[in-house]
Amino acid sequence: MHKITTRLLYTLIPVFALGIFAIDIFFKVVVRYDYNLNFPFLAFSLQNLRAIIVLALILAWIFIVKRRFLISDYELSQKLWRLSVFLLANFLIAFLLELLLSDYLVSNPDLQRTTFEAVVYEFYKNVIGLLAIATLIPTFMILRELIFYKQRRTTRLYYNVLFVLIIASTLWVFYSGVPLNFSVLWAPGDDMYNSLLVWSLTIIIVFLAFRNDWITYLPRKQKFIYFGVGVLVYLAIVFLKDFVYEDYLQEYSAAVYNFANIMWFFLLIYGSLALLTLLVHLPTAKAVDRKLREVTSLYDFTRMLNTERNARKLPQLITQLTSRVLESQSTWYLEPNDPQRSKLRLASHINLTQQQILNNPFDDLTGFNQIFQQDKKPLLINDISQNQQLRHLTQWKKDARTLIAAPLFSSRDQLLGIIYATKNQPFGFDIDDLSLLEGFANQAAMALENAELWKKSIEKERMEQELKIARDVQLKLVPQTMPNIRGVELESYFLTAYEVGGDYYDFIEFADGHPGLVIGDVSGKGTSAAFYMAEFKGVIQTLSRTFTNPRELISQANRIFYSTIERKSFVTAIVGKFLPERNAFQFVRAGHTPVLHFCGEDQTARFLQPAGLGIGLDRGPVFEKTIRETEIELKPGDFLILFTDGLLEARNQAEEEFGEERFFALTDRINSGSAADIKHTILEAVMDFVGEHPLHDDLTFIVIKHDAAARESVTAEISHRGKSKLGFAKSGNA
Amino acid sequence: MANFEVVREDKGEISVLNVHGYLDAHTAPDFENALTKLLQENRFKIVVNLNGLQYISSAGLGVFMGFIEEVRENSGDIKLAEVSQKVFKVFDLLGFPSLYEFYEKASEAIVKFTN
Repeated sequence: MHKITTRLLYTLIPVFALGIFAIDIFFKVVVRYDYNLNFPFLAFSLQNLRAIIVLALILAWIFIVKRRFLISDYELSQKLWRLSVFLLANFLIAFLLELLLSDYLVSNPDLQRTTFEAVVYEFYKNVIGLLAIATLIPTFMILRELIFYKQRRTTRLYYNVLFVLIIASTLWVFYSGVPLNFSVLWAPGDDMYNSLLVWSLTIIIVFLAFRNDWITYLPRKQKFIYFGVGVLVYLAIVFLKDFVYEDYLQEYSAAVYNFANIMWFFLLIYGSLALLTLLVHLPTAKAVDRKLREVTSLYDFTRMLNTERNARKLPQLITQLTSRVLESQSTWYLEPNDPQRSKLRLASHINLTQQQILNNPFDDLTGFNQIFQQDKKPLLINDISQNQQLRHLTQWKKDARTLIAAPLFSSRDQLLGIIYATKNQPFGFDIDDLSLLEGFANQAAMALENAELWKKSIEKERMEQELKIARDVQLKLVPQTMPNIRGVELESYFLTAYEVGGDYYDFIEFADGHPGLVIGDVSGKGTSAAFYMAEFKGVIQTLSRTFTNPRELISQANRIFYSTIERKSFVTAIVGKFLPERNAFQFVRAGHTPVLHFCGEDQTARFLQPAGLGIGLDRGPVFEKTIRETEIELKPGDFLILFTDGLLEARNQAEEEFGEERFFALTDRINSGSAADIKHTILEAVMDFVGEHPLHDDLTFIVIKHDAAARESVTAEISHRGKSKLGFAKSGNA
Repeated sequence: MANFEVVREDKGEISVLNVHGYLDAHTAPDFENALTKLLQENRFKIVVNLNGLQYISSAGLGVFMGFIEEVRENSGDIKLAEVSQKVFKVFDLLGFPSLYEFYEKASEAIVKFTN
């Protein structure tokens, strides 16, 4: 759609231009100035038609410039270059054409003698008009871009006012038939409007003329170029009005003439100030240029530093970049070498000889290095040979004359390193280099810290991965299913608080074929506890095949464990044996938490705590002398709970322990129901108590309940066979 | 968490360690350091006054085990005194009373050493 419109406009513009030219020729040549008398109506219509065509031409051109030129996309220098080309082209084309036609061109229509002279005059007038329209409209748009380069609060307001004033003055020119006169500063009467317009235009143009911030951002070379070009363009502007516009443009179109006048005035004022500002900026151009370059290079280098994840490559990068930022001859970077951070190591260097590397005088935190440790500021030595403290350095490095250095500190104020750079002439670095190096050192310190964090997080991730594997392995060490043991219902719960824990339980089979169980807790937490737990499982599983009672089994386990376990570690455990024939549970307690026994008959709970030492505390004699075996008969309604200390020591938000009392209180609620019900009630109570507070210890418990259904089936079996094989029914009937 | 503190008090060839606060996995190294120092100084007659001890974890219990062998090999001992009811329960559960001597008063333990 737009494409078609623009193509149409491209064809229409020459048609409009030729149309205007034809009307002009018609009036001049055919009618010869007496049109008012002979063709009053036709003349009036033609004049209006011409005005409309001029307006259409202007609008079409504005449209094309906006659509096709895309001025706002240009770079600053491209804008300035086009502005100069437009204005110079306007002046030069008009000037050359006038020179070419000078023999036939008579500016005063009354003095034209031949038809040819009249045609040449009309032709030249039309060319000037078209030139003005063609160049001044894009010029105006480029000026707008320059003014808006750094937009401020009032920029848009001033610009809009100027726009309104241009429209108003054009209307005024139409109405009065007299062009704006910039030379009349104040005149009462009819000219009062002229003066008002001129004054307000002047004020607003002066305001806008100060909007030339773009000059600051011109690179140094371009400042010089555009100052030269600017002077030329400025001269063209000065002469444009008197030489080009004055005689012909007013005849072509009063509106275009008015616009050209205002533009000329605008360009004159804006150009004067811009040239002046450029001139002022020329001496500092170099410094500004350098500052800008520093900012960009600092940014680039920061990015390079921050994308380097490998901490070992960073020292090399730091010296390389420092040497590029400062254009130094020699650069080196030192970092603390030992945990005490009193020795420094040459981590990377550029342009140091082997001899200089070996004799590096900066290898500890004394002298110069100490200053950094204390002051935390960069340092600049303009001439090493004149410096009392550093004169000896010339012996180490003869060519170095200027020295600059900065410390790198972590966010926790720890010295990460010191960067040094030298130049071979005195006063080789200046105060700007010092602040640049300081900024760079800060960035480098951050990059070092980031790399360190990155390394740590990778390590942590790997560690977590390994812990996860350990946990998976550990979870496979505890029984995956409950065994079927005649006469009892069994339920268990196992939860590790850390990735791997020291809690453990298992089912075993004694040498005489009786089933048994083990619950244990290895002292300490985490990985080492998990390893001991795995070992413990192996020991117990192996021993169970050669022993028939818990006391002997655990005594042997203690002897084995005592010789392998770390002295300050130990295991607490309960080893139990199911005796279905007596409907009983026989167990030993090796330092473990007591067993809770709930008696179904009198509905009371109590702790069973037979004597016994923890495993791994004693070589054997005391352990074996102390340990007591206990047998408990399971009657209907009875249950046992074996647990680890994680249950009673589970803490809530207020750091209170779950404790014995709550545990006992709980048994009142679970006096009936299956082992599974009991397990759920306990778990629910503990979890409710703990709330959001994370468990700080593993949690394991086993519920052993007298199985009524099993007893009945056994009784049935006994009555059917008429004899008791297991002795189960006997106790049941007792 | 309450703080943990060990205050040493030398009485002739006997050293009394007054232990305060929570003795768990985090604070156990402090207690270990105190005992290591005594052993380095060849002081093997040790009374640990647990008067101020509020809590002891398995890691805390482990510290005693880590030193007792060396101490006894050098004809010394670690005697425990003034344990609160609550903390004694933990020691008792693990069977410590059959491995260590417990005293109501630190002075009694000291007397026992001198005899």
